[in-house]
Amino acid sequence: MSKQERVENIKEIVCDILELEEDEVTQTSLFKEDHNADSLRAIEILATLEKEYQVKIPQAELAKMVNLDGVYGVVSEHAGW
Amino acid sequence: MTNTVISLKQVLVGDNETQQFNVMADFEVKAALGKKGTRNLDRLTALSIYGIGTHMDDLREQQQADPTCIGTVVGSAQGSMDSIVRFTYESLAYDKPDYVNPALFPNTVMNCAAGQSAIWHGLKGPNTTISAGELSGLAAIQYGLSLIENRYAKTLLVGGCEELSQTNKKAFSALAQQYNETEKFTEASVFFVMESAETAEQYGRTPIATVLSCLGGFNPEPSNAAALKSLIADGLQQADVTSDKVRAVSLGGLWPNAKEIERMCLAEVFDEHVLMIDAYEQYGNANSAHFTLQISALLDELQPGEIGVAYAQCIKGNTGMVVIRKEAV
Amino acid sequence: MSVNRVVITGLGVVSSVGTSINEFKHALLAGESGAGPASQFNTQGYEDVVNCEVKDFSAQNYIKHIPLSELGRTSQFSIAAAKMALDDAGFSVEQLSGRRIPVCIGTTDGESQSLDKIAKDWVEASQAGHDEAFNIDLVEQSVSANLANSISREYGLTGESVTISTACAAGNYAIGHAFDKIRSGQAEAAICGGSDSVCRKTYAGFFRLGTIAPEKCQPFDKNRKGILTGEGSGILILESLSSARKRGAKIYAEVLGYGLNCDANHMVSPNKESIAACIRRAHKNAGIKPEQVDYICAHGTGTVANDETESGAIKLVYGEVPPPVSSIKSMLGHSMGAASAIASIACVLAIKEQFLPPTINHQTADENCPVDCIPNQSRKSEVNIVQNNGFAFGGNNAITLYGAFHE
Repeated sequence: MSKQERVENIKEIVCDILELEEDEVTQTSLFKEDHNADSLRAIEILATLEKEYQVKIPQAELAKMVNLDGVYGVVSEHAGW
Repeated sequence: MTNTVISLKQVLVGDNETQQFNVMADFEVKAALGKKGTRNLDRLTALSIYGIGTHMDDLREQQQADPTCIGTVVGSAQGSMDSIVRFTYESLAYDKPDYVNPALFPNTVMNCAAGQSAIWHGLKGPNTTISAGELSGLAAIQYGLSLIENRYAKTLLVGGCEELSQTNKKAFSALAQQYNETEKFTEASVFFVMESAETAEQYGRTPIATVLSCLGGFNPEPSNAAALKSLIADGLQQADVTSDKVRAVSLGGLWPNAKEIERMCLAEVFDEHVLMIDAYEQYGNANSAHFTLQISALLDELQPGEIGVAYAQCIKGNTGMVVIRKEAV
Repeated sequence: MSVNRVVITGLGVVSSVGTSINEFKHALLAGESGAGPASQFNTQGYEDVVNCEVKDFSAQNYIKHIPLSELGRTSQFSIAAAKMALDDAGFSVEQLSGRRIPVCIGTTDGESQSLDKIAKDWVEASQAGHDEAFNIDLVEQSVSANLANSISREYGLTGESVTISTACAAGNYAIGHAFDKIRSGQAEAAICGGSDSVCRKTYAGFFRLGTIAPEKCQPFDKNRKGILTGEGSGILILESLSSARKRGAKIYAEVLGYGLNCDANHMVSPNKESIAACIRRAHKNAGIKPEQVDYICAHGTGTVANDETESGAIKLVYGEVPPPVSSIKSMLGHSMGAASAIASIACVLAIKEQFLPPTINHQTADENCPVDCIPNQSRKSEVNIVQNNGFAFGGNNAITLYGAFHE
């Protein structure tokens, strides 16, 4: 899977969880401030990505997973992309 | 005798009673409640939010003035058994138990439907989920009466709610086989607005019925009619009603054993001309919502001023009865 | 409407720190921990699971009339605690049979171990490619109504028999409902409390949320890491004062009142203002003022969110110097629907024995939880009125108040 495909895939997962259309979210728009996401949604994103990519993401990483770029950074680090 | 009235009722029930499992085929969560905030709702919770929602236009003014005076009492035998069992299932089915979805965990507590309904509709008064098998709806009414009469809430949305999921279909099938009964189960979401006659008047709601008495009980010897008969007698006395004044009686009719006991009580307590309604014949077994369907069916038959009784014994020995007087159509 | 005073005449407890009132009281005084390796539920896939289980429980010592095979673990706990409470109150089986005494039991997960087994059977059948019906014995056991009904059945009671399933505040709800029945004259005595069992479902959920502590529960500690799951049952016999007098029963304490409300805000995040409103409702219902309260038995789960929010709510009502606040969950973990019922028993014992139960495992104070949490050691104290907090998923808050009995 190319980087672009992974970015798209993550975006699709996040939009599904946050109940957003893909054009409502950018790589840098903030889940909490811009899209009303709460902590439960944040953990749901983390858990879904763990299952999708078969990686373990420590809960402490939630602090960085505030937008799509942040999520990609965390997942790529733990998946060794 | 109580001064508590039912001022609104809404009945949602499966639409084809000829089926073994009578689902509300047209009820789809996102279509009913919208695309936002519905992704993780289980069907039971959605049915509860939707059922309560049918009353909210009539309660809006009161809710906006003081959301703490409106509460919710949901009769639910088991919460969403589907959400509970599937969560454990997911924790066992994959390589790692951590592949459960954390956002679905709140669905596995039995008060999810009541809690989510309160969030959805902004109801900050007492919020209670009560379980007594197929008499969960009766338990909700009795508990609700207590909250109103002791002034913990002014107005309550009280009801029973049941989903038909793959999981509880499997459970119901096992029960039907065990008790030698044909499979005839239905989904339902039945909510009443209950309040004192004064509160109803204050907000311009015309009472449909007055709850004259409500008693829940237990029959430790489920094949003996004495406990239910004595409960009915006490309930009538509390309502200050003699049995010959009762126009219609609504039975639960669930499971061969309880059905027989209910019929015995009918013959022994009531006038031979009393109109008999059998909620099971009419709808099937609505489990958590069954007793609320009994009351609804009773209200449909009564004319203003007439008195009716609903009573039942459930598979687990819970018993209950309500005496109501129809006030307005 | 008549208004009766409501007193407590019997107590029964099944817990990870003792399965008798005496053992439980000594554990609270000594600050014992009920934590240990999990053995009561399927921990497949997890490592080194620590929780607070009831040890060496022998159901046959308590249950005489119902075949044990028909009862799940939670119903067994319920009957056992009810038997202890009824014996303690001086009610004989003969006095109870056929009486319309209400039974009201709170729970989060009901017969959770039976439900766990249904799930496990289903996974195994699916993996083997079968579509099997559920095991009827498990289906029968798993019905939540059993928690109250099993007590009614064991004692031949004919009163209202209900299980209140408002999650982790359910014990207080059940006590509140029984209190209303007696206060309003609808019943002379009632059996009420809460029960739950440890289970895989609840462990898996809290673990995935990242709120399970690895080895110990440290409420109000700066470095607290979450809950330990627990189990048990707490049952109280509530009685009208006139009924207790007529029987010559000993009186532990008085139930003064309770309050309920709902955050209507979030399923899992607690809400400070709403909890404060619930405390005020409870005080008003009991006819007391904050300055009369000598001790608060906290919900105190040991999660970052709960303890900070709860401390904040207490401060909103009580100001800068609230009464001492401790969490017995530091000792017996989070017994879910049983928790606020068992905590109610701790409150009653605190009044009866004039001491405050400690918050154990306390090492570092947290400036975000500015309460005197009675660190590590119980304290002798004059205790007249106590407040017992119970909060639940769904934003369900239930707070009970107990007082020393004065004529």
